[in-house]
Amino acid sequence: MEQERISAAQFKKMVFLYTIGTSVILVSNMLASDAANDAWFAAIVGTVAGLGLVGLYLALVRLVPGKTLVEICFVLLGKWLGLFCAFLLFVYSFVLTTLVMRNLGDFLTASLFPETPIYAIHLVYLLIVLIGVRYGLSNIARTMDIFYPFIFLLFILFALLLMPDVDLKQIQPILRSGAKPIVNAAYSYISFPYLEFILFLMIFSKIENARDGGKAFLNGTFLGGFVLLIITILCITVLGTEMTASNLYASYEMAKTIKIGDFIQRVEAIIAAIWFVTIFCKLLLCFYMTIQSFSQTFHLGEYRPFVFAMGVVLFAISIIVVPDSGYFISFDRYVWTVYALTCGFVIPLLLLVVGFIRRKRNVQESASGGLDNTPDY
Amino acid sequence: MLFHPFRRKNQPTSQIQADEHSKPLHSSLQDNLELFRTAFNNSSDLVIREWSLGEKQSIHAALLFVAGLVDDQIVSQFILSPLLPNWIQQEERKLDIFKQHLLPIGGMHETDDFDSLLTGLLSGNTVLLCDHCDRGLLINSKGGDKRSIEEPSSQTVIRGPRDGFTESLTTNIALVRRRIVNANLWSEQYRIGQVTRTEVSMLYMHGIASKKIIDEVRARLQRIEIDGILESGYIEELIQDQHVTVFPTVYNSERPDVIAAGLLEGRVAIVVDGTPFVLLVPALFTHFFQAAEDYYQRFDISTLIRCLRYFGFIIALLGPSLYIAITTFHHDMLPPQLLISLTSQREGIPFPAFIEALMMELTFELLREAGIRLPRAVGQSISIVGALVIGQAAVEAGIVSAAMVIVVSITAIASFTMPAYNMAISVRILRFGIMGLAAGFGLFGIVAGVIATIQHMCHLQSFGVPYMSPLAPVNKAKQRDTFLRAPWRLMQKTDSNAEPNKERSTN
Amino acid sequence: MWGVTAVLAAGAMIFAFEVPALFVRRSRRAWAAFLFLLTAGISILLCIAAGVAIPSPLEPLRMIFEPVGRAIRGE
Repeated sequence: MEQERISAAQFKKMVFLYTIGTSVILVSNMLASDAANDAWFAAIVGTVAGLGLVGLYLALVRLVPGKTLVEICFVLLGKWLGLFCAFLLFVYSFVLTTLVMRNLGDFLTASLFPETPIYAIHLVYLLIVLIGVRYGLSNIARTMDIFYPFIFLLFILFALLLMPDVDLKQIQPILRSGAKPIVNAAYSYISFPYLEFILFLMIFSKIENARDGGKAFLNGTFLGGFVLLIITILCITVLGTEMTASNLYASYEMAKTIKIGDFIQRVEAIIAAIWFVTIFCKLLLCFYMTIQSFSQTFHLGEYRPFVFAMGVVLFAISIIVVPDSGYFISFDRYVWTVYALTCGFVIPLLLLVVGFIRRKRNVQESASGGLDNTPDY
Repeated sequence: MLFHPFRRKNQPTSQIQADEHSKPLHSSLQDNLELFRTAFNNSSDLVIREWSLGEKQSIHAALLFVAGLVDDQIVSQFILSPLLPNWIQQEERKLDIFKQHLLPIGGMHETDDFDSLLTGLLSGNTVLLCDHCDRGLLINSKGGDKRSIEEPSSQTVIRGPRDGFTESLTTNIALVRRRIVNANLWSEQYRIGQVTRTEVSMLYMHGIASKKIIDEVRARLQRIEIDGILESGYIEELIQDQHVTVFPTVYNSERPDVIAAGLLEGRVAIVVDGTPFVLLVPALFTHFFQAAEDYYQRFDISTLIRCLRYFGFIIALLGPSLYIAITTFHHDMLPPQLLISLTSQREGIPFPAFIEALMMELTFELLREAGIRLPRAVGQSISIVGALVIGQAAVEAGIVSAAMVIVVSITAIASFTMPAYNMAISVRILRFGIMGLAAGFGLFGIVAGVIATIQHMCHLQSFGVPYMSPLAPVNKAKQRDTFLRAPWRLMQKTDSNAEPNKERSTN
Repeated sequence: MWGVTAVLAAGAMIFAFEVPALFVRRSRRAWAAFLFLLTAGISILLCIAAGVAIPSPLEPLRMIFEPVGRAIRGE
């Protein structure tokens, strides 16, 4: 496999853009429907939990340095159990990718292009994602390098444009219903996107300097979480709790309200353009992780030949994956949260435990020239 | 990973030195002259001057040159005159005597190889042959009519030097040498093209240019297999990285100051005899937006104008597409007044916005191409025709809307702000693709097109350097010269931990 | 009708595009994986184009996790 290296700074930008990804559209509604006007607090809780998760993943990487997630499975669990575990993670990333794509298609059909069939949108997006993944990881990293400053600046512009309409009273009363709704909301929030970060371990090993990479991971998560927090606060203060909780695409509704004088109005299409880019980045990374985990789980070497074939499967499944949006919402609420918890928390925790046990065994046996940690495939 | 489109028998190009294994000369003068005559088939411009010198007129010699390629004054005054007196006595080693004592010319080369004599003859050198001597003397007498140094027509500046390259290789290299008075400016010469045997020279600053790039350029030049090189564009196409792309990865310029600046940055220049356009590699995306004048004006002006250029690039690329997208999909984005006037304009138009835009763009491309080929006398009338007849009349006939004409004109003007013509061409090509996407998917299509373009550009490389450096991979040090043009005080710093040959930002 | 032909055409194009590279590599695993993916994808697309209803692949996940999810939420 090619030696593609990325820098820690590029990784940070990847994490940042990924975190914003689809969450920027959905997070406000997700949090507000559970926590009402305390949604911002749930966002903070969620971000902190996210940082904790990143710490967990970094611990795992430090245990078996220089290896991707799938390779770690094989190292720690052996050939067959490792295969099973890697396969589970591959399915996780695959399902994630289809859902992300579906999120995008649903958003566009619902808001901007009601007459366009959803598969047309999927097709266009899929094509550019496929090209990007085929070009390789360094190319993906450079693309993120270019998008990052623009997205950052445009986001600040977006926030500034909304400032006049902010009504801070909407946040009060604080903590009216107590902690339970906040925990409920944070629980959904963590599963989307922070529990998905485990898949970043597929890319993490390609960073040139692992120590800087760890810091970059945390930085990117923090920045992304911060942006989502701001979006949530803006939604609640500009639209009000009721509207935020009842509109699935709350931030889009918010964009519709931007008005400068009498001549700049209804610019939500431009704001949506920003989100196209972030969603693209997330989809690009998700697809890359899926393809990599596929080719590494089954020991297929070079991943490039499978890009288009996998793309076809993805395209097909993204059309049938969700019969209607009610299904999607309930799926997100009940199924995805647990599924993400299993794959994003339980599995890495188990891996960590196994890793520690093996390391202890290594230390004990090292005197007698014990087992080495090389993968046996 | 390079493919060469012309697969022919391998004939390695060589530097100008004597080959040891080609046709040798004969001893007899008449036989040698016969060789030359048959090679030229008695062409009228091959001049053969025979005479006898020495005591008793015993030494027969002949001078050959191609009329028109030599400087007649040099031939008659400095070659023929010293040789005419007949006091020469020695019979042996005549050519040595000529070389050492008689001929006051700088470049001289003795060889027994017929092919190199022939090539030298065709390059404007004079050949001196002697009886009973199987070696010939090549004497440098290049002359002939050349264009004088004028202001380059394609790249003009308001402030800055006004000399431009000409078609002569030696003049061009001299123009660069005058600016970089440094022995480290090295030049390597090749003859490329099996039939035309064009002289091509590679210039670089030893110690500044990266060895990897130098080696790569050299390897690619030597790998070229083609019949003829008539212009540097041939070389450009044959050595550029073989990505399938519309973007140029080789920069060219007619101005010596631009080339000199590029050399100081560590790039390699390729000068081709017969054309004033000199290539510069590696060429990155940001290079195509830098103009020579940026460095001769103050930094604040230059920064603003450079930003204007990037803005022009975006307009040129996305102008018509935005118009199509907004009028077709996103009407509500426009302020009501504008919307009303646009709608009323579009009311009688039989075509959808996309077709309208396509027609206008194609018309404009036709006008542009026609404008280049026109004789100067007719040029003025065509611009009037274009503006009045096509624009105005089309609007009044109700075929296109006035807004469309405005959009197309602004797009065209914006594309002219780009200093590099080859980048402007790429934009013209891409524009149509994005227009199609805009027609199908509106703003979303435009964003998708832009993303695809950016991904493609990130993928490109120019001689091993990523095309989008220093934007991606991000190199903070070099940001001083991309969107901004930082003042000279800030640009003179060289990073101590960077490669010694890549960080001189003294463009 | 158009849908079916478009799908088959796309499948053929992808096949033609990737086959040379796969030949060079000579890995049976790679071949198997590629063919598996391509056939799976094309067949699903064909079913969709022809109008056959396919259950969502999320169903098994839903069956396993939904009770747990609802329990955690306390509903």
